[in-house]
Amino acid sequence: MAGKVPTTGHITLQGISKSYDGLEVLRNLNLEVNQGEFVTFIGPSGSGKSTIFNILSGLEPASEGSVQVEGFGLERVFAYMPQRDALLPWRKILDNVILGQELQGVSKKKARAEALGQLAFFGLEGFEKNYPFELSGGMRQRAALLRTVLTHRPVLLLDEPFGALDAITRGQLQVWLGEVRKRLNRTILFITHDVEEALLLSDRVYVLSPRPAQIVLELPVALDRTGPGEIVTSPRFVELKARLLAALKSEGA
Amino acid sequence: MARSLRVARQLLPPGILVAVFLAFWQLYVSLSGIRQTILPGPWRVVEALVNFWDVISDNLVNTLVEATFGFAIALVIGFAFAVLLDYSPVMRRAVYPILVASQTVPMVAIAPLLIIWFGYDIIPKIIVVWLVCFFPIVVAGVDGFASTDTETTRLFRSLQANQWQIFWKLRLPSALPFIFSGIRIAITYAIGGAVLGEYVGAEKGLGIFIQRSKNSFRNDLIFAAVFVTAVASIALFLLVTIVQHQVMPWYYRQQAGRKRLKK
Repeated sequence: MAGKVPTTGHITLQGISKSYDGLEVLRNLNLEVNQGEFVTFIGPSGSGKSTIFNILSGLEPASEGSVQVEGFGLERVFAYMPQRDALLPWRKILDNVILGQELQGVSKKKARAEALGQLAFFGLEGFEKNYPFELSGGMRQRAALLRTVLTHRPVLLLDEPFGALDAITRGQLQVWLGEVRKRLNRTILFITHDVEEALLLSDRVYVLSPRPAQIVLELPVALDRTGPGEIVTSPRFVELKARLLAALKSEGA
Repeated sequence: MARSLRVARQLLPPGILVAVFLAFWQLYVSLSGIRQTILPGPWRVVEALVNFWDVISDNLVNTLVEATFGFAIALVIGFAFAVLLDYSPVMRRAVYPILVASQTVPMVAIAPLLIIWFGYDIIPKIIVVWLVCFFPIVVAGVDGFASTDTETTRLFRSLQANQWQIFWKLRLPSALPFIFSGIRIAITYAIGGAVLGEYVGAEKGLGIFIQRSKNSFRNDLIFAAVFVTAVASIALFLLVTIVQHQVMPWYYRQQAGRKRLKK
């Protein structure tokens, strides 16, 4: 499965700015993302994090600056997963997760066959014929992520995917997303305002200021996630967390 | 078993209410000594219905044909209008207030004019039915399309869905519950609209049958025709509900799930 998805090279955002009717939301963002990297944007609400995703996924143009993806045009590179699951209530789970393929003209039969093979890993086996409202919040988010993955686009844009979940489900899904990532080998851009979530999952974190958003800190994480013991109490984790919190605080977040 | 129980639970309360009402009615007519030409008892109405069934059913067919055609045209044109108003905000601003205003025009004023313009045959009745059914369908359609979730629309756009796909795979299914609500309101108006259209002038149909019965002081036949009108309307309403169950099974499963949660 991973083989079918083209791998992107470097993603470069150069001097990206965005204003709506004079309201400046993003100011001169310059950043790079490597192939296969997990990069998180963290910042106060309303700081324009989602605007970055909108620009990347082509929902709105940047006012200034450019996005470049090595070896690609911008169409069909980014797979966007909205904050709420946005599953279609009139479609069963199996037909929900094939939406991306279907809209690109792949036959439903072929898309379904592929999706069926992925259900177990996404913890949805046996639920393919259920409607979304029959699933728990955690399962719906997993279905939405499977829909995102099955678009076969090399870069996933996950906009606070666990924001609406209870703490326990959220913790479980964070661990699970780590597993998904190892298996998929895709580049993931992630938005959250949960500092621990950012550190648990990411290779690198960008801290954004309140509007107009600028990068106030770029923090490589490099945590050993395979070691024994609780990672969140390790000295390295505590230190990184303190640095993130300080960066957020200094900007009046 | 569970299904028939559910049906019984739905039908029993209104059934009992109607039975009690009929019993009081019959009792009043029998005890007060009121002349049955003024107020016939329910039993007298049933007798009239049986004795005149040939004539009534013949007229009913005529009314049903008018109601069906008028409704079908209202559905097609109403749906097309809803799509148009959904896609063009300018059209929506231009047409919507006129539509609302048009509803304040009493149909009894329009129906005779239609007869003057189009004659005594079926056409003016179909137009009356069309006029009464059109509005609820357009309004329901416009509201339904507008109810489409914006975040899901963004998801579709991020997947490079074209306008056609967004309409068929997103906006239309989103609007369906609204559209069916509009259709159910419209279908209950359809028969009444046809009867009204016939009442002001026709050769055949329950409306003109009611008028003739009135002129010959056969109030029992008026009640019989009213009863038939009501039963026909309910039957059409149930038909729409059955179609809706077929078209939107997910909607009913969701509703049932919500009800269970409340308990």
